[in-house]
Amino acid sequence: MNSTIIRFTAMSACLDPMKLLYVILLGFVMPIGMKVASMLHGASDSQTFEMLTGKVGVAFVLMVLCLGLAGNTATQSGRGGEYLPLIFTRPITRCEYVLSKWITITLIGGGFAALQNLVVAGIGMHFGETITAQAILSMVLERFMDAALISAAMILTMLNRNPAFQIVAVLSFYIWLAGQTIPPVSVATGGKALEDLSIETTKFMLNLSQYIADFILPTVNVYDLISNPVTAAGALIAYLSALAVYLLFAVGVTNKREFFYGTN
Amino acid sequence: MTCSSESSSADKSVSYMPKWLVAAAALLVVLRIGDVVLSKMHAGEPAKTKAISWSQVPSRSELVAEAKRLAASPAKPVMELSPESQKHLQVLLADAKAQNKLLLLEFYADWSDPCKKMESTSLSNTQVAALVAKSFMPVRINDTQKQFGVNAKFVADLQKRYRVFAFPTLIIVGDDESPVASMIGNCSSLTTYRFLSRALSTAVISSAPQQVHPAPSL
Repeated sequence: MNSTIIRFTAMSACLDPMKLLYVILLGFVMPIGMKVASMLHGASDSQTFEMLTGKVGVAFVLMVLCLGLAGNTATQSGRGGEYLPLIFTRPITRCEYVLSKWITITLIGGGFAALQNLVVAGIGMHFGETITAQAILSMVLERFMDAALISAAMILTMLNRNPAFQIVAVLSFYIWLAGQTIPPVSVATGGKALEDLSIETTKFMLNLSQYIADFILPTVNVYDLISNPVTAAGALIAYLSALAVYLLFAVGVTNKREFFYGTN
Repeated sequence: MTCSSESSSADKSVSYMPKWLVAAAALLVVLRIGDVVLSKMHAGEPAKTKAISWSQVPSRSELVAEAKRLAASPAKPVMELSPESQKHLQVLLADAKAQNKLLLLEFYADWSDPCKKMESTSLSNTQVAALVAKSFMPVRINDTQKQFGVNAKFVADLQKRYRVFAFPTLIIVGDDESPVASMIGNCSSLTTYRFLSRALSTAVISSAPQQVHPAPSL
């Protein structure tokens, strides 16, 4: 790990007022308001709330935190200049660069999401909701695990300059996101062609999203893992394999990158 | 100046691929493929142990018989509970009250993969199962619309009454037959636990004289 890269990454993430404003609004203001409202009126937590306080919430936070952090400005020559070639004029290993970035983004993104979950759990308990210490620990661990996987996937997407890879990755992310708007359900069709078509289309989207989630963003349910490690072992293997492959490819593509250091 | 500029703007980074990362990725990918193959081989098998003992309403044999009878002479759909169905529901509610528990209805369908998945994950979680056993009277309402083209009257009535359109759906019913809380879809065990404990506290607050077993606290 490289302490300078870690420090630089942390400062870029935490000292940018625009990023912080976004994280506070989407990560804290909205879910807290939803939680208070539902507790006051005795209503169940909505699916939107579940999304914002779960894996989707982590993805939203990381999407912004990762901007300009994983070398995307360097790869795309956009705003902010060529950071990556500058960093590599230092005697560091490229693997060190990738892993330092990943660790920092994971800790910051996971930290924000875990803090949000703790605040929301605290509000629930204040209004009389019962929740065990095991459940709270599970939520916190799950958010860090989500952050680790999503940040690895995002870093790989940003460092890999192959446009086809980036298009497929972004498209997959959008389909996954669309599928998160409702939990997996079965709906009996009604026998009318147009209504059935509409329901079947939604089911197709949900199934596609589920396949993508299983393949590229597998979820480990820490609550199940703690309660019954045997049944959740498959999910843990899927998660760890995806994480290892993302990091491996991220280091691989960075190793292969070549930069032009000539003067204009 | 030119020399220092040239020396500072050269790539001094080292390409390095850690062997542990390569080995870990290879091992985990092999394990994952093995796990996928194994799960495909065992796909469709019912869960060996059921954490929650659901009362089946109606029972399998009754369900099949009634569905066939109704298929022969389909009844007009009703928006609210018929007197027979209401009586049936009242019996369930009285049973639950006698046990000092809340009535938990699970609208379930045999053909629904999310239902089977939820059965083997969230509803098999030890904490969820313990909470259900302690504070709820679980009743599974079996849908047969897809298999037989029609549902048993009680099932159809309940689905209309509680506006159930998707499976699985969990509904906690209050003393006055109104839904205290509902959860649609195969949600995670933590979400399910939170839903149940939340509904429990809501029910306790809304019906203060009724003593319901509280969920385990911290």
